[in-house]
Amino acid sequence: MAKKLKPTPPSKNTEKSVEKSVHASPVKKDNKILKLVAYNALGGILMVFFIYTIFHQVPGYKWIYFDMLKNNMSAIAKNPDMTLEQKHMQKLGGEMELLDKIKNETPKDAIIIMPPTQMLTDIKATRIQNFSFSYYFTFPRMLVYDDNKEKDSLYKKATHILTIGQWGIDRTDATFDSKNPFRVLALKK
Amino acid sequence: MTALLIVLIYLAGLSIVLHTYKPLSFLEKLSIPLLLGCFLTSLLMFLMSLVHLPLTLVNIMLGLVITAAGIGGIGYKNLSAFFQSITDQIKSTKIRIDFIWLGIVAFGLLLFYQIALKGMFWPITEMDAVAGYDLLAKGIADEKMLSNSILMNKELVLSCGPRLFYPPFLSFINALSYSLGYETPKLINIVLAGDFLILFYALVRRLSGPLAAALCTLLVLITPEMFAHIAFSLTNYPSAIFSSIAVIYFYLFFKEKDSAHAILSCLFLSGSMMVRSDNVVFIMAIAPLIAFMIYKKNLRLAYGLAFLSMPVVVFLAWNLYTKYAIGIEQNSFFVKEYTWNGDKFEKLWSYVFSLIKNKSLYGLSFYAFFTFLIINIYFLIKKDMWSFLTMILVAWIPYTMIYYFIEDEAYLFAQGGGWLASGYKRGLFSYIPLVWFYVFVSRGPSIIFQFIEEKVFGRKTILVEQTNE
Repeated sequence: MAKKLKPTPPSKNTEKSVEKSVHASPVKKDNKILKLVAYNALGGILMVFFIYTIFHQVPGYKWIYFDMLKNNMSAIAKNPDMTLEQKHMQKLGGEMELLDKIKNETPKDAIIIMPPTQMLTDIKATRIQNFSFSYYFTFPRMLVYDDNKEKDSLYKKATHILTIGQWGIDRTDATFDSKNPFRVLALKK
Repeated sequence: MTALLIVLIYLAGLSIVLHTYKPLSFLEKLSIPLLLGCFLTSLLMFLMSLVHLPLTLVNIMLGLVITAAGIGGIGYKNLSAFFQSITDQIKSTKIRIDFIWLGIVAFGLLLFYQIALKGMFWPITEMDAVAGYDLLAKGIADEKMLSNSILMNKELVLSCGPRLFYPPFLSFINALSYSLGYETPKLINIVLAGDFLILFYALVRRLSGPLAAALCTLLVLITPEMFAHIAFSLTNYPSAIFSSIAVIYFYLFFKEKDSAHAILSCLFLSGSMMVRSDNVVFIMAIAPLIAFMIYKKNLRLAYGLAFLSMPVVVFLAWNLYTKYAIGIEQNSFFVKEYTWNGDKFEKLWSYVFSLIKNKSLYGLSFYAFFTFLIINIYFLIKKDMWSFLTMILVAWIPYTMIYYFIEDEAYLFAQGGGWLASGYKRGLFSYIPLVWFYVFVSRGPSIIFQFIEEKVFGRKTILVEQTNE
C-alpha cells in the first residue's frame, strides 16, 4: 500500500521560487523567443552578406561557383548520356580517339605497335607519345613504339598495329576501310 | 559485393572506435570508422603483398573480417557501453531554431553535391593519376598483386617520374573499385572527402559550438584549390584529411591527456604515411611535443615511443619496399652534395609567400590565419593553443625545406607545373583545415561564439575544455 504523504507547508524559499517562476517564466520565454528571432534575423543578414561578398569579391571563391561549378553543371545537363570515349576526347583532345580505338578493337592480351613519334607529332597527337599516359587508357594492352623497335623486346611479339594513312598497312593482311586514315589492324602472321 | 566490402571496411574502422569512443561525440563515432577502415584496408593489402598473398576481393574481405574481429574482439566488453553512449548522445540532442546554421549547412551540401556530380561525371584525366597511382591501381586490380608488371617495370616507373613512388593508399583503394568492376574509382575519393568534412565539423563543434563548426567547415570546403580536388583522384586531398586530423587529435591529447585521442592521432598519422611520404614532416611536428610531455611526466617514455613507432614503421616500410622490391631509391630528385645557396633559399620562400597570398588558390585561409594570430596576441602570450601552432610551424618549415633540396632548380621554380607550382601548392592542403581550425577554436573567436551559444541558446559547455596549456 502506498504511503499517504502529509502535505508539508512550503518554506519561505520555495514560496519565493514558485512566485518567481510563476511570474518570470512568460517573460523569460518571451525574451528567449525575441533573442532567437533577433539572432536569426541579424545573423542571417550578416551571413548572407558575408557569403555573398566572398563569392563576388574573392577571386578563388568566385571561380568555383560562377565558373567551375556553373560550367560543369551546364555541361552535364546538356550531355547526360555522354560516353566515356566522348568524355576522354572532350577533356584530352581528339587524339584520345586512337587510344579508345585500340582499347575497343583489340583483345586484352594484345601488343600494339604505335607509329613513330614524328608521325604522331605531325598529326598533333602529342600526349599519346608518352607511353605511361597511353598505357593507362589501353591497359592491359601493351604498346610498343616503332622508334623503339631495335631495343624493345616486345616489338617482335606484337599482335596489332596502329596504322596512319599508308604507314603500316604493308604489315597487315586485314581488310580495312580506306576512308578512315586511322586503323588498328592485326599483324601478318 | 560492393555493399559487403564497404560494411567490412567500416567495421574494421569501427573496431578501433570501440576502444576510443569515450571522449568522442556522436558524429566522430559515425565518421571515423570509414577513414580508419580505409587506412586499415590499405595497410592490410600492403601486408598481404609483402607475404605474396593475392589481392583478391575474397582475400581482402577475409582479412578485414579477421582485422575487425581481432581488434573489436579485444574490446568486446565495451560494446554495450559503446552503443549506450550513442543512444545517450542521440537522446540528449536538442533541436534548436538556428536558421543560420541550417543555411550554412544547406549551402555547403549544395556545393558538395555539385562538385561530387562533377567528379562522378568526368573520368580520371589528371596526369599524376593517369601516369601514376591510378595506373598502378589498374595493375593491382588486374594482376592481384602490388609487385605487378607496372611496378616491376623499372623503365615505366622512371618514365612516370615520382608518381609511382607514392605510398600505395590511393592505388589500393582505387584498385578495390576496379576489382569490383567500376569504370572509375572516384566515388571513394568523394566519400572520403565528405566523411572528412563531417569529422572536421564534429571536432570544431566540440570546442566552439555548432555555428562556428558549420562556418569553419564551409570555409574549409570552399577553399578553391582544395574544393576542385574533391572531383579529382589525387593523393593531396586524402593526405590533407589524414594529416590534419592526426594533428587535431594530438592537440586534443596534449590538452586533455586522454589516451583515446593519442590512439586516433597515431592511426591517422600512420594513415597519412600510407598516402604520401612527405607527411613525415607531421611526425617531426608531433615528436617535440611528445618529448615535452615525457619531460613534464605527462606521458610515459614507452607510450611516447609507441606513438611514434607506428607512423615511422609505415613510412620506412614503403621506402624500403621501393628500394629493395622495386630497386629504385626515391631520393634521386635531391641534391647529391650539400652546399648553401642563399639565392635559392630566398627565391624559395618568396615563391612560397606568393603562393599562400594567392586568393585564387586558398581563398581567405592564410589571410584569416595571420589576422587571427594578431587578434589573439593577448591569448597567445598566455599560451593559448601554442602546442597547435608549434605543430603547424614545425611541419610547415621542414615541408618547405624539402623543396630547397630538390636538384633541378629550373623545374623547381617553373610556372604552371613545376615542383612548387604543383606539388608544393597541393601539399599545403594539409594546413588549410589546421589554419581554419585555429581561426575558429582559438580563444578570441571562441569568446564570440560562446557568447552566441550562451545568450541565444543557453548552451554553456563549450569553453569548459579550453584551458591554457
